[in-house]
Amino acid sequence: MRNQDLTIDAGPFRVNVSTSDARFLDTLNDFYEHAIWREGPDVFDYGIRIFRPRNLRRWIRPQVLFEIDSRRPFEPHPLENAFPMFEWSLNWCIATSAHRYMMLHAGTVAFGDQALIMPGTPGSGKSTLSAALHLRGARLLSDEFGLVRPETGDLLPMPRGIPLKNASIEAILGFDPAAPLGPTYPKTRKGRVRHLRPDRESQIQQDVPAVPRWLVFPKYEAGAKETLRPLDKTEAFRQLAFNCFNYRLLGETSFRAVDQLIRQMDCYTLSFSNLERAVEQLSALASEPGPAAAGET
Amino acid sequence: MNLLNQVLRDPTIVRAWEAGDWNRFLPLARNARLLGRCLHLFEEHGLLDVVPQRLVDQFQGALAQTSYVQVQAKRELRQVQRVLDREGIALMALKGVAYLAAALPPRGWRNLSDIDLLVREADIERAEQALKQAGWGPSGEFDSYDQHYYREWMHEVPPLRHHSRETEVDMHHNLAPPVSRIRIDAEKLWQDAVMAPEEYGRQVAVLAPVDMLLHNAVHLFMNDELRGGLRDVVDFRDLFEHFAEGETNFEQHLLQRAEVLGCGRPLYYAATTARRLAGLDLSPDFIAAIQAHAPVYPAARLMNWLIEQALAPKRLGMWQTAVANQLLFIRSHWVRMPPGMLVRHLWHKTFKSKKPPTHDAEMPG
Amino acid sequence: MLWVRSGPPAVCRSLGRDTAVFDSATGETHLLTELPALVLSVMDKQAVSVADLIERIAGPVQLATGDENRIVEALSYLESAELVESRSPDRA
Repeated sequence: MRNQDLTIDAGPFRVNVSTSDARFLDTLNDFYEHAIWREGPDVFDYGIRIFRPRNLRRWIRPQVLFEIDSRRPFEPHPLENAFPMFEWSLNWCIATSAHRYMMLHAGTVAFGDQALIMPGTPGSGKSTLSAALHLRGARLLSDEFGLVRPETGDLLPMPRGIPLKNASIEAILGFDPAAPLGPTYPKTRKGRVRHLRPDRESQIQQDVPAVPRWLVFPKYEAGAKETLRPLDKTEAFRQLAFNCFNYRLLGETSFRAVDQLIRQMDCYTLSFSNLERAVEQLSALASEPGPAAAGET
Repeated sequence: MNLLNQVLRDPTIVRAWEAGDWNRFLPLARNARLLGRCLHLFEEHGLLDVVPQRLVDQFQGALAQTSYVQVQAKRELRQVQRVLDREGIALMALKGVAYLAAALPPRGWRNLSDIDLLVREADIERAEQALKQAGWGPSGEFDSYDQHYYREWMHEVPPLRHHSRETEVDMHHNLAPPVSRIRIDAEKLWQDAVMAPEEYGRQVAVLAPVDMLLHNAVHLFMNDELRGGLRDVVDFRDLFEHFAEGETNFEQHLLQRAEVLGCGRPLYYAATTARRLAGLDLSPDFIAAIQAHAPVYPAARLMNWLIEQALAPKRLGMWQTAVANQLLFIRSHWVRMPPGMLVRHLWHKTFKSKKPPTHDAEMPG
Repeated sequence: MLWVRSGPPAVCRSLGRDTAVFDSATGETHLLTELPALVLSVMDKQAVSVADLIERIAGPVQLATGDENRIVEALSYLESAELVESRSPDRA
């Protein structure tokens, strides 16, 4: 197939993808049907090329390369993993350049115009929780990046395919057998992966920010009883800063933004072992009336 | 010549740009690490209203990063100063960290990943020992050949890094290596050094303006295979314009000093390149005078082609750039080392095990 | 031994008992408990001794010996965080 270009809006970022791989292109069209920019030539943030190298690996255990600004920051991946490679590599491009935003390592969903932020290291379960909450009707903002405008404290959406790894795939299918999952990628560097497609509403509303209201640090623990525990301000500050990709880089800006966020949000930890019960707890939290109480715990 | 060079020479051309131009421009500026510089250029010329907002955001992202590395560089300088002051060792800041300390124009946008310092040759071992005792250690792995290369042939100790911080410290005792064809009398640099303004209770010495420019020229064209790239050429232009504004007869002074220090050839390359690729305005008198330091015509033509391919390719990723970079690498070492040493050095570099150029960066998600 | 904070004033935010502190000289954020935060808040560009600091903090009130030791400990901690510097008297 000849090279084709596709321009997709990933939240505030416009991404131009150029590729000759038909299967990859189909997956992109399928996942981001409502986020494709169709209105003629425009300026984009990242011009990405996904292509097959012109060497032996073009035919034998074929590979695919990711290129941005004519540079190739990563080792090649097997051709069949083009889509997960694209997703992870785009995340890297954003994480290393988008310092106009404060970037939280967090899953974020919105109930109405108020946002739930779930920071977490891998294994915390934030992506699985984000996926489950989204399936139950919450607007997906992101499963990976909490994009905060530091000057206003707004959270910006960037609804993308949610990568579910290994056992999380079964957990989500158990939670909702009709979940719209993409193809299975059995052998990626993170194990077996399938992506949850963000719904039409979330994609169409990706230019509508949300106001951070709840901050919950999840922790998946086998056998744990689902408990929401309030978190004191010192711990909330420490952990939120720790879970911010560019906290140190942004200096005083992120210091002030984190301070403001922990004051305006209700802060908790959540240990959980059962996805259904965790979602119930979080949904109950989100349906409590009234704005957050001002002042400190 | 590409869009980036055109913008550096005349920023107002962006008024006529369409989406396609901006999309070609952004990767060029990003690769050359000139995003922050370009934003300032647009601000200075009242052009911000025509820059697409999403690009302004990208520029601001780059400036946030710049701000951070600058804070870390100044912090590292202060920490080194504390140790060396205690030992009574004189210290001079060089290059990027010197521009910051002396509050020169590049501080508005300049990135730096390490700090360069000058101490006297007689003090350098004692300085290294003092830093090591205070918590600095080797930054990276160096075998005995590397150690020899750095110490005997170059003009620096292998880079140091404090165990609890991330900024690398490069200590030198001269601007050009002893084995190169350029022999600079370091004492002359110390004699003309000036003190930067005080900050947080300390002052540091920096090179006199003409010496700063000559160091830029020597560093770029002799030491680093043009690795500094267009960014250092833009530094040369910005510093030249700033100093020329502040001192009548600056050009004259610069030419004289180049003679005294034996840096005419690098100055020739730096000045002519900055003029061609970064819009530096030179007086006809200066242009005429600098010709005295040009190489023979065929060499000049080749060098100009090499420089242009390496620093100002029409597009990124051209094979000519790769070839030029290779040739410049070889030339750079030829310029630095006697031939016998060069062969041994290149042999060693080729057969040492090295990490592959791409890296498996930790991917979010 | 004298103590000084030569950088710009740190940006402080109360988090209840603890204080979040941003130091623009290093770009670092610190979470300080009460005593170090208090000691930091009374320090500036003027180099002072421990005795001077105690007077700034407690005024005419006499402190117990244990308290003085804790202030010295706090200073030591602040120094390792690069928030303050120690100097010998002739340097000041």
